[in-house]
Amino acid sequence: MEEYIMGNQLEPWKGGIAQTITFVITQDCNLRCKYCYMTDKNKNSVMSMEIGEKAIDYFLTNSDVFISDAVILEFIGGEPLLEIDLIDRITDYFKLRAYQLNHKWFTMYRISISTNGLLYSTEKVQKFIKKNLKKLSIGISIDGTKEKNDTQRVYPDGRGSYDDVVKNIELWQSQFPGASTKVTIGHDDLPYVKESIIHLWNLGLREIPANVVFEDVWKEGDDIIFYNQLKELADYIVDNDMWKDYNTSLFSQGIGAPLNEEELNKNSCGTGSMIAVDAKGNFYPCVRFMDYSLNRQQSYITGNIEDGINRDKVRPFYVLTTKNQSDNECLTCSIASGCQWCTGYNYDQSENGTLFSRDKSICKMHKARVKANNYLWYRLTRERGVKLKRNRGSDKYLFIMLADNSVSFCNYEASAENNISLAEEYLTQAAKDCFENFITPVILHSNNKTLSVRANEIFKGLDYINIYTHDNIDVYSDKDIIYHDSSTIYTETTPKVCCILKVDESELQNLSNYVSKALEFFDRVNINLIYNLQTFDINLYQRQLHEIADRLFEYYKNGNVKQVNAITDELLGVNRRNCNFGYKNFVLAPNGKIYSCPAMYYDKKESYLTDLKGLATNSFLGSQKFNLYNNAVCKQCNILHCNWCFYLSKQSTGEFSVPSSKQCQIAQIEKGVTAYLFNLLQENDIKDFYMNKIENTEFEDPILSRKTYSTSLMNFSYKV
Amino acid sequence: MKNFKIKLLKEEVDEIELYFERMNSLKDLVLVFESDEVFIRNSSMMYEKIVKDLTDTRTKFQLWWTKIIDKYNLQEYNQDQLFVDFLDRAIKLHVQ
Repeated sequence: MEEYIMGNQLEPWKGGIAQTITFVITQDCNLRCKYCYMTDKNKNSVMSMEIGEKAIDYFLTNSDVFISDAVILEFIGGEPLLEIDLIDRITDYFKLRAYQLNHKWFTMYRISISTNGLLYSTEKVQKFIKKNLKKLSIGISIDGTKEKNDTQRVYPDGRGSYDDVVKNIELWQSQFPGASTKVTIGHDDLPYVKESIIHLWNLGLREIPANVVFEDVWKEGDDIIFYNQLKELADYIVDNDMWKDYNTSLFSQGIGAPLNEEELNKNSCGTGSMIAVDAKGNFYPCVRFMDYSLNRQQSYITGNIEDGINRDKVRPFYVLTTKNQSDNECLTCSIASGCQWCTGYNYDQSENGTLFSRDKSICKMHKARVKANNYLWYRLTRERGVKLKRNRGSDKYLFIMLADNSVSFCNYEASAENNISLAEEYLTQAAKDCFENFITPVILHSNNKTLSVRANEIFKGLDYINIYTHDNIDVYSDKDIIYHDSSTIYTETTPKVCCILKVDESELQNLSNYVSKALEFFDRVNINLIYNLQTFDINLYQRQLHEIADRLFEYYKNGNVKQVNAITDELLGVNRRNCNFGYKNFVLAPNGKIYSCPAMYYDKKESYLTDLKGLATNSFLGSQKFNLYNNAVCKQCNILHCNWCFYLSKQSTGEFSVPSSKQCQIAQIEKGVTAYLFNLLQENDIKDFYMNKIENTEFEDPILSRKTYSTSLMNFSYKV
Repeated sequence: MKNFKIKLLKEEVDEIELYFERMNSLKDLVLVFESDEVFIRNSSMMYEKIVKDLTDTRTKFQLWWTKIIDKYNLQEYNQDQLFVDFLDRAIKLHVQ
């Protein structure tokens, strides 16, 4: 795989576990940047050496409180280099005291300074740098081009600072070769984002962290300007091959997906675990909780150098998570990942001075960023063949059937009886609505080459997935899926990532042969069984799955990660969900109508939910009757990978939300085979291929453990 | 040669990182003593202790390399050509 750094996250020193202690050495600054959150700069709050020493003594003599193996001594202001002598004395004091006390931080420490760079080349600063170079990092803030920088970063008399900073960049880079600058984006400088990032890259800065301010400064249309800037930047990146050696945090592969459990249960930043010390010796969770950063609330003091940390004041930070700061709109947002906030700003903006709230000023800017990210990764994957390191996206999908004989990827048969193709106007409208509503399009191709080419043209620029027939593959990326059946799989010649393998019930005795063949070319095989609940031979299915598990084990022994949906999804820790059709996934059928699933279209054309224009309103999305967690039977079950099919349920039990016992049994059989594979891996000490520990248990129909008192099954032998 | 990479055990990386960081800390601490004020406030005994500590740490650092070069059969390289990437937990070759 070709290496590239675009979208990588900067790796913090010691994996981010070091204790950060921020010394707010002065609240004075030689600039007056317009977007600066420190709104009350002054010359009266310079830290004394006595306070600095007492703070160092406190941190070094309370190892029971500060248990991290490493420390970062951070110096900020105002402008910290105004007080370089003081920084020098405080850091010297730290080194001496830590050595005298035989403290572990003597070995593992870093000094970090964030500066505007104006004083960087002065003799005193250079002397300090040379003395501490091996343990020092210095970040200089420069916002990009002269025009952008001087729009925001100005002297008290209004003059721009660009010329005075940029002359120090070469020296800075020679002393800190991997240095990066941080770009802050506000309303006024939005039109300069693209040229500013490029400008900084041209200055030799390869890594550019950048973010829009969290504050409520955004005006109508700012999101469109931001999107257009990022889209143009994306074009520049692709057209000039910049993704290999250059990076900006504006683009990331982790953003624009629903929040996962880890994200829901952590905060957006490290506030609370960091400690800021001011000139009076007071402690704060970070500088955003100090008076000079707050406009509405009182400062949030968590202790001082005399009395130490007030643990009660820190306690709220231990329990601060995305879940308890966010409202339902944010928690259920399909593209929430990567949306950030500042806890200090949340606190300042809250009604009652609480941490448990979230300001949403950034929302529309995040959405613009996600759209531009989708565009960049679309171009890189489809035009440059870049392989994604993370594959995340929105959790809403629109499956677009290009024709009546589009691939049938689930337990139904496509029928070309009417031979309708989706009109181009519907395709165009669907592309627009998917883009605006963060719905991922999944294009179901047929064997009509012209239609496929046209669809790829129309969806160009979106984050979308193709499901191709094996003999009609147009533009391809690793996100795409190839559709095979039991005969075409033997014609495959090219390795790819994923295939759907259709196998009819009548071919069940050869299932493992077909899957084995598919595994020769694909990393993942989704078995698509076409079966009848009444006649399906579940024992034969179980035997075939065991053979497939043995085959998978051979791959794993040789270090190859291969997946077969029915067996490995449970092992690899998929999130529990069914196919999600009717709830978050929908189908645009060739007649231009929206259906809950493709089978509904073939079964009953008049059962559509809405016409295409309904997609834009989003009002029909999320029908609760198709929500797995509202399903009375499935709620009792803990099988993760089960593809409960409401269409089959309706056919067998008469209810969408009550699956047949056979469906439950199939899922249980599959889980049993997963347990068999898991045991094989464990017995052979192969640990790299599973996230979940799987135990095989006897089949128990989840209906027996339902929580209801209405009807007893005790008098009724419920045998499947 | 571009892809030369010897993966190390976590314990091996932790050990060399500790020596590396301590050597740098001690070297920086020695520089603190260039200020007379500091030298007077803190006895020369402390300075001597630091210098001895630095010598001992250098020795441990060197022993680690000797042990690792032997373990991973890297005798064909000069030690100066090799470095440990702490993030990647691997020995790599300096780009010439």
